[in-house]
Amino acid sequence: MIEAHQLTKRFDDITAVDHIDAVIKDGSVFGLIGTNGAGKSTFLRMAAGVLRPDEGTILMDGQMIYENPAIKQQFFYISDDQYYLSNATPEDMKDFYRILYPAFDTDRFHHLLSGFGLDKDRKINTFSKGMKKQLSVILGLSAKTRYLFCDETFDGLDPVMRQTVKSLFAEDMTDRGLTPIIASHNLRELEDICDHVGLLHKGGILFSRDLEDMKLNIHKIQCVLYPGMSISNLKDLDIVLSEQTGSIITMTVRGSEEEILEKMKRYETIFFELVPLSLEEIFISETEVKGYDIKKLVL
Amino acid sequence: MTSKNLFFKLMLEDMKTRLWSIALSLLGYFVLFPVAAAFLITRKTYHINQNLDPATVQYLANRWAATRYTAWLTDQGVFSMIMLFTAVIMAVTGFSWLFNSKTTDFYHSIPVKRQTRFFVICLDSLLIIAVPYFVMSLLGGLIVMVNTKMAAPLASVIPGFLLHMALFFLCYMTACVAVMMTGNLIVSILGVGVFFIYGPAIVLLTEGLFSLFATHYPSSRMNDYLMHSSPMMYSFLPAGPLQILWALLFGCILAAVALKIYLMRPSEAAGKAMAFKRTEFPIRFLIMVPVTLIGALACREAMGHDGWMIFGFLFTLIAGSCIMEIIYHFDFKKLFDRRKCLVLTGVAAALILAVFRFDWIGYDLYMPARDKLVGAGITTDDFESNLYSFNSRLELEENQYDGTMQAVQRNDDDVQLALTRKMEFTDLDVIYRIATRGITDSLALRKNNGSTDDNGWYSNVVVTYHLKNGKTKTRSYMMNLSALRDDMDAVYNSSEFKTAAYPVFSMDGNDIAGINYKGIRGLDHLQVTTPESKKLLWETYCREFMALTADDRRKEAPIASLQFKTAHFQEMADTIRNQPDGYLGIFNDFGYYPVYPSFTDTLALLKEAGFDAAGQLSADNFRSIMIQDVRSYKNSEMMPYENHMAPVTITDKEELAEILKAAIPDVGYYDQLNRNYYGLELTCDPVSPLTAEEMSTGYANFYIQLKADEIPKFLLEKFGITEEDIALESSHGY
Repeated sequence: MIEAHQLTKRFDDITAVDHIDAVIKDGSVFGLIGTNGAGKSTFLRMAAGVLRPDEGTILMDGQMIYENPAIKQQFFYISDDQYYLSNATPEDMKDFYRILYPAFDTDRFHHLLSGFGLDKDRKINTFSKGMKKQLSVILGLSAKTRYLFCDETFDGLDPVMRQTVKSLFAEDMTDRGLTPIIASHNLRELEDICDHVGLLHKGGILFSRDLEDMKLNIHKIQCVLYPGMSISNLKDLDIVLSEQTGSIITMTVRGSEEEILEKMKRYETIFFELVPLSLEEIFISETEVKGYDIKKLVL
Repeated sequence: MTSKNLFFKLMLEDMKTRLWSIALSLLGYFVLFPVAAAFLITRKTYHINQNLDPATVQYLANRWAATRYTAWLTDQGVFSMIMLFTAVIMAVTGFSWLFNSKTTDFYHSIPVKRQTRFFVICLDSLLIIAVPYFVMSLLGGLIVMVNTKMAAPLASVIPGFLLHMALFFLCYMTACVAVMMTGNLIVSILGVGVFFIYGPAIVLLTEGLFSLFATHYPSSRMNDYLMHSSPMMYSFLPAGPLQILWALLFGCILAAVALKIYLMRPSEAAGKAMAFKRTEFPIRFLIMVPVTLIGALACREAMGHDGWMIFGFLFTLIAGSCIMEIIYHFDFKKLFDRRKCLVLTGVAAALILAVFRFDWIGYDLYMPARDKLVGAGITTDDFESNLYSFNSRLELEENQYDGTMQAVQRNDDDVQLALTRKMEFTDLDVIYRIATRGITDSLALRKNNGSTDDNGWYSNVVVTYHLKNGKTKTRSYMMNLSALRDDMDAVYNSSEFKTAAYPVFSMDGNDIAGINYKGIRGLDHLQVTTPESKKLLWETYCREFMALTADDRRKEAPIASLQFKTAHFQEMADTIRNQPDGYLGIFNDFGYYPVYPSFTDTLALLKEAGFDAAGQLSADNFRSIMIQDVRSYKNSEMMPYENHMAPVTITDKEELAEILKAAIPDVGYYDQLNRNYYGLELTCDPVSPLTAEEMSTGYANFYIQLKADEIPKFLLEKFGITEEDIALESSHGY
């Protein structure tokens, strides 16, 4: 488990991470979401022991991460622009990481490499951006660490590769309890993979929740009311957002599915149905409650 | 996996990323050693005298090649620069990943402690240089050994290796400290430059401030500081185990400092000018204060005016500070970003400048309190013109061209300073009078831009005060010696001065192997054969020389000179003499002490040994003296003298006697306290002509000069010489 307590990092006059409290539980996918400059990379760099916090602590299994090689062997950090040794080939990088990560799985590395269609003896500096990203994921997964820190790793991967990587993550989570921590500025990218999401904004964490919890307590309704009725007549509903297009009203409503269905049945409507909420819509509704105009952040 | 294994594997991985430096190192040392050795072998006979027999030529050629390669292995000139350069390259490239956030993130995220990575890089850097160096120098040594059948080059491989690797280690660690403190390649290289030149620059700046503003500052007193002011100066230290240990010790200290800084260094420093923001102002301050002062001094020195000094001060301060800001921020808009720093730097530099310019520390007025003073060493150029010769030493060196030995003369850097440090004159009244006068005269001269109205004899006097606390303070006064003639004479007359100035007094009477004599007929060996007689002559001479006063010197001119040879000196001279065409010139001119007419006991012993120095200027010994007017200037007008008379030959015995009574013979010693007239050139024609042997060691002609105060009246009249002429064309002391 990774625990951040009042974690703070400043760069000169800029506070990149501002007193963040967060818990990342093992066995789930933690999504770290925020706009550029929100502090995602800084948070991950502190989690990877690259940066020393100015205030607060970040612990892995109760131990400090910074300058702690034993703890650092528990994770693999993929930065948003991963560095490879100069003139190295994938094979060279494998040899390098094998020294550092005792559980490095060479067979899996070769298997994944051929699966992704990457040449093990080709110089990495001739790879495309996407190929480099793929290689970083292959190396990260082959290192067989408990945690995998991914900073904008999906950025640059084509949709097919993105799905492949997600599948690999899911496979490793099932097989050996891998905990990926994925930082991204794109909500849609993480929608179908994250179990838990932390939203960062201006260095602070707006909230950190399980996606399922959020989905259970907020719903989207599309309905058509009889003439003479308006949204204001639906007083019992805890409407977070509403929008009317012609006669169709779309509402985001807080509450359990059963509770909402029961209330809607009491109103006489021409038509109503519950439709799935996207991660983006959940965030918009959740954050607006807290007074943030999140549309600007995530769209 | 053990940590030792991990360390070794990390070293290998690091090596893989630095293959280019391994290749360059191998290539460089291949050229510097095996290729150089082959070059020496090929050209070895070119440097040998081909007129010798072939076996000797071959032997000398082999020895030349072996000696040259040995010297190359322990060279402190070219190799110092090579080691310095490679150390900087290895440090900057080895840690260049710290300048890039991508690489910094990579290396700092992997499960390796920072100190492990630090030592991996340092050890790899050392090995990249050391292994090729050692292998190639050994290979070169083998090439030379096989071709010359001499083992000396091989024996020097390890001492040379240690010498140069110690320098590399010292410079490398210095560069590492600079690299750790900076976050950008360019700034890092600048930082390395600052680390190497800052110490010498501060020492030279201090020397400059003292030289320019402290009137009584004796020049070039900073050599000791300069030698220890930078790793760059390592090669100027005496070579040997101490030098190596010194370098290793400081290298280790610097390694600890570099590691400490690295552990403190934030990863986010990558790409910034300085790794630690809090060091920006102190570093800027420490650089800009001396730079501003150097700018001010350079302008004053170039233009000779305080106004220009102020211009130089302000210009350097502002321009330098702006450049520092650009370096720090890489942004022209930040030129005047930290005006407070600029002001503080300016104030500090101005204060230092004012301290020296207005002598706020009282340097020029310094005179130790009586109760703190033990004594002083005092000397002036006017006391002894042969001081440097007396205090130098002869050494033998081999001439590689033909394998012969040759003598070289060596001096201490500053003979006057060495003299005053060992001399302890204790007449405090005299010391205070000299110091007081020195301060007054020097400051007056400075005030009047070096000119003075009085007609006194001005000369430089060096005084080293010996304090009761064991310390010494040295001052140099430009002062009127004529006004303090009695006190200066008292110093000269003292046994303290003579013992410190003349090594003859510290010789061992039992170690005198021989005595040479120089009279008007040139050099000769005294036939004093027994050790007792040699010792007696030495003791007699020392007694009379010790009793010699400055007044005696003004009245008398030396009529002979003596060289006391120690056994070692004689041994060196014999070595040279026994060589074919051995030239003893330097021995024949070295360390001759004057014999004055008042040295009656010495003269008597010389007479017993067959040299009548006192009688050599008898008119009976000369047939004639030819006198040539060689005045340079017309009297009173300082215009070139054009109408020289034809030479005049004097044959009249009475006139000859008069001339010889006023003669200053050339006996290999020049006494500057004599008032010597050089407007006439006198060539003597001896009754007994010079023998071939005398001509080989002495002079083809007898030249004499005349005491300015005793020129015979008939000569004054004959040549129309006036008092003004004498004043213009005569030398004299204080």
